[in-house]
This record gives sequence, structure tokens and C-alpha cells, in this order.
Amino acid sequence: MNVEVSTIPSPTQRAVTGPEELSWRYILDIIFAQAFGLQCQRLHFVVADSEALQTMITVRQTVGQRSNSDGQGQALAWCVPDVIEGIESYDYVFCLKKTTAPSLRILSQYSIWTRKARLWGLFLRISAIWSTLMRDVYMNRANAEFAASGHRPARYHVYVYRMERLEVSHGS
Amino acid sequence: MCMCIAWRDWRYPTVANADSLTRALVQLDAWLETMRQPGGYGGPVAHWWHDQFLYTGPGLDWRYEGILIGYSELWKKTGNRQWLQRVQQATEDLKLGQTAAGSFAMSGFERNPETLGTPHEAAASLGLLQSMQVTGDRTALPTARRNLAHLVQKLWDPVARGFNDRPGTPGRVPNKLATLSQALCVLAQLTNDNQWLDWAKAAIDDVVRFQIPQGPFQGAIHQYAPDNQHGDGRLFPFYNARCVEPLVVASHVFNDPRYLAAAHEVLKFLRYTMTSDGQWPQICYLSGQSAAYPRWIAGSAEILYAFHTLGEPLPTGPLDQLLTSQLPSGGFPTAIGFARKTRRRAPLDPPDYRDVTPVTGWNDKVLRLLSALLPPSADVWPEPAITTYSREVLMHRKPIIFTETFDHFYYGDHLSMRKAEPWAKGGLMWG
Repeated sequence: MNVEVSTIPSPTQRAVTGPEELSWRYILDIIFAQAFGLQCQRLHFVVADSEALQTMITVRQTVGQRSNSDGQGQALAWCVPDVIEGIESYDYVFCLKKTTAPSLRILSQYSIWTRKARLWGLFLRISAIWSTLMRDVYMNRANAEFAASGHRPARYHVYVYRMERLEVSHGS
Repeated sequence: MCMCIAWRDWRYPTVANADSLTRALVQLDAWLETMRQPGGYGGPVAHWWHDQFLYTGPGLDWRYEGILIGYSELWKKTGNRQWLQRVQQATEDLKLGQTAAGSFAMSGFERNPETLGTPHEAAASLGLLQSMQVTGDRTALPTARRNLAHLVQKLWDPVARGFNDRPGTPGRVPNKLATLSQALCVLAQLTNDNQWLDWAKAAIDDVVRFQIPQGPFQGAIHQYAPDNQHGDGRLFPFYNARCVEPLVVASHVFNDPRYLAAAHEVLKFLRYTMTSDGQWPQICYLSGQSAAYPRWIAGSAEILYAFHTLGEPLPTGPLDQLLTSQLPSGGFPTAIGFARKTRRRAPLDPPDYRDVTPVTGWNDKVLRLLSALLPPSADVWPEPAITTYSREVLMHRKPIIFTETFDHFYYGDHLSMRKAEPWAKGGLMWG
């Protein structure tokens, strides 16, 4: 799988540390795993101009180079807040916002850093003052609820779309 | 098409003797071979800190410690070239997977894909170095030396004169320092270069600094010291066990009996915390409370190895439990009670999907233990007889059928992994 990375300056991109870093780990793992499963030969990332994000992609790319050499599909991973554009030449689109483009059919969606996980994270911080045991309990609950299949209230969502192309008839 | 057999049918009573060890080892070796893919040994990871069931590609992490040390031990005891080839194969994985800076690719274990994994890179280098001591083949010496030099450069704190857990973060994690110290000691021995010993001593001294001197948990070593001054009050039997051999090595290298005494103190803690059914809790807290689960199965090999290192008799209950838990695939399951990480009353049966999943980075510890226990004369090996199996498990509280074949893990209809591929397939990864 050939991985390309384009960057867009994004002042809203937070520092990639703590839960933000964990979120991006999940996001990138989902995108790479889905692109691999969909037999993509090319995966084009558009991400914020962040060294940390690019490093995380590069690490995953190392494995990707050894896989899907027979793949056919072309995928776009649109990981910036800007309105998605230039999707026509791709077979699959991964993005962080729901899109209403008529040519895209949703295949699956994921929620990352869910509201439940944030709630457990709050308990974690409070309990850390008085009980190491309870801190670990809440840490485990926060981790267990951090990502979810489907749509839940969350900081990030990953949508996986397939491009539906109309067959042009040349019949009589 | 493989025939599936029911979970209960393949269990057999056993005691640890040469025959049972040989049979277990040959099955485990066959399973480890099923876990290979381009770049090395892969597979999913279930762990206390985090699970990784999406990335299933190679991990150049602590799994190479047990694999390299275990197979080189088998080579030493039997002279069977098959084991030497396994050592050479694993050595090549690490050589080819080393980055220009000296790190190993995908060295984060449960945090993979990631580099600069601790203690994973030091553990993999320790595997290289100890296997070199056995085989005499020093061609991977530059790989290990470059890796350890890189770790020193990234983690050494010149002000506090110790090793940080992460670059720029002042915390100390004693069990990781123990592994690093041992690797540096062996590197110094192999290269006759004593410059590594100052760092090795600083690392092992920090391990001893966080050992509890008295009280009910006397001898236990804190898991973490976030401010490099105070232990965090979390005592993991598993991670304590990982400190024992490095302390023994330090006592020899520095000719200082304090380290050996510290190792014996750790063993007291391991004896004290063993449950009546021959298992160990995940964490004991200084408050007297505990996180009882998950209790390691494959990982318990590391605790038993600590007993073996000090020449103490192994508790037979845990060893028999370990041997009888071996799966029809040849792998060893990870744990009991993963579901109780988040719900204290979650059922143990059917088990959580993470309990039964065999993980390469836990099974290497079984390989190291069993190869160490094997008598030197055992050079007749039966043919492996690994087979496919299925059983009911709970995944996000829902019952599904887990199946392991020679080349796949299947988790109901939700998730599947081809052992030769780096990414899992399926949409319903989480609840």
C-alpha cells in the first residue's frame, strides 16, 4: 500500500499528547486497517501540519509498504476540519466529519474519545487524589469506553465511505 | 479443512517432567511459527495497560527476549540445528527492523505501532546479547550496541543521573530499568567495554531505591516513581519478577551482595502474594487492597522464572496450571478475568476474548521458562500435533465463538485476523 501525505496548516489542531494522542492512534489504526481490508493500493492522507501526526503515519506506513501489493483501490483520508474536496478520483474516503456528498455511501463509522470515556477520565482525576486503586479502576473504564463502533457522543468520529459511480450507458 | 475440537477435550493432567516439557515446547514452537509474517512475529496484544487488536503486524519488542533466549537455550541443550535457525531468524528480524537512529520498528508491544518502546527495545537487545553468548555468533553485536546506545542517548537524565521512562519525563519505572541494566551488563561483558557499566549501575541502583524495606510488602518494588522520589504504591508481582534476574546479574558484575539480597527479597513478596489457587493478583496496593484480575497465565512463566533464576524450587501448582492451560494450537492463553478490569463481578466463565487469545509477547516468556527447565539430555522431539479449536467467549459482554486456526483468529462474525497480515479485518471492534 502506497501512502502519501499532504499537509494543511491547521491552527485548531491541538497538541498531540495525552488523550489527544490516544485519539489519533485509534483514528490512524482504523484508517490503516480499513484501507488494508478494502484492498487499497494507494492511501492519500490530508492531515494538519503536525510533526507528531506525520510521525504516527510514517510508523504505520512502514508496515503498509509490505502489504496490499496486489490492491486496486484508491483511498483518501481527509483528517482536517476543512470542507472535503477533490474526492472524485478515489474509491474510498475516510473523514472525520459526516459528508452529504451524494456519490458517497457510508460503510462504517466509529467514535473516538467518547463522552463516557471523558466522564470516567473526570472520575480518574478526582479519585487520583485519594485512592490509587480507584484511579486504576477509572483508568480502565476510560480506556474501555475510549473508542466505540457506531455513532456515540465523542470528540472524534471516523466515517468510512465508498464512492458510488454511475454506470454510463452507451447502448442504443 | 481442520477439524475443530471442543475446548474441554484437549486438557490433560500433567506434571513438569522432561516429557511434558518437551511436548509443551514442541507445541509452543509450532504455534510461534504460525505467528510469523514478513518482518517478524506478529499477532494481537492483550495487556493490563492497553489492548491492540487492530494492528497485528510484527512487534520488535520484548517478545524477542524470550524467543531469542529460549531458542538459544534449546540449541545449547540439544544441539538441534532447528533451534539455531530460529535464533538466526529472530536475529535477522531485529537487524532488518532497526531504524537508522538505532531504534527497533514497532517496539511498543501494546502501544504498537510505535518505536522507542520501553522496556521493549532493551529486552530485545538483551535477547540478542544473551543468545550471542550461547551461540558464539557475534554478527548482531553492532545491532544491540547501537540500540542500547540510542536508548542511553534518549533516556539518560544527566542531572539526576538516571534513566527517564520517556525522553524529557523525569519518572522512573524500576522494572524497565532492571531490564536495561541487565542488557548493559551483558553488553559490557561481550565487548569488554566498561563504559556501559556506569549506566547499568545507575539503573539497577534506582531499582533498589524503590524497594520497600519493611512491612507486609517487604521486598516489593514500586511500579513507578513519577517524581523520581516516591514510589506510587502499586506493586505488580509480574513486574517485580522481571527485576530478579537483572539484580542477580548486577550482584555478579558489580560483586555486590546487596543486589542478590534484593532479589531474594522480591521472591519473598512473590511467595507472600501467591493466592491459594497458585495464581498472582495483577496489583497489590500499599493500602492493602488489590486488583485481583486479570491473573496472567502465560505471563506467570515470568514469575516462575524468577524462582528458577535464584535456584529456588518452583511452586508446583502454578507450573502445572501453566502446562495444562496450553491450547490445542500450541499457544498459551493470556489470562483469567480480563473482564474484571472494569467490572469486579464480571463472570469468569465464559472467559473474556482477551483471556483466551494467545499473545506472542506473553508466550515468549513460557518459551524462556520451559527451555530453562528442560534437562540437557532431552534431544528427542515428538512431532507437533497442533489443531484448530473453538470456544465460547464474551466480547463486550456478548457471547461469541472464538476460533483459532493455523492461519487465523476469528472473533464471531465481528473481527478476524489473518496471522500473516498486519491489520485485522472487521467493523465491530468495540462495543
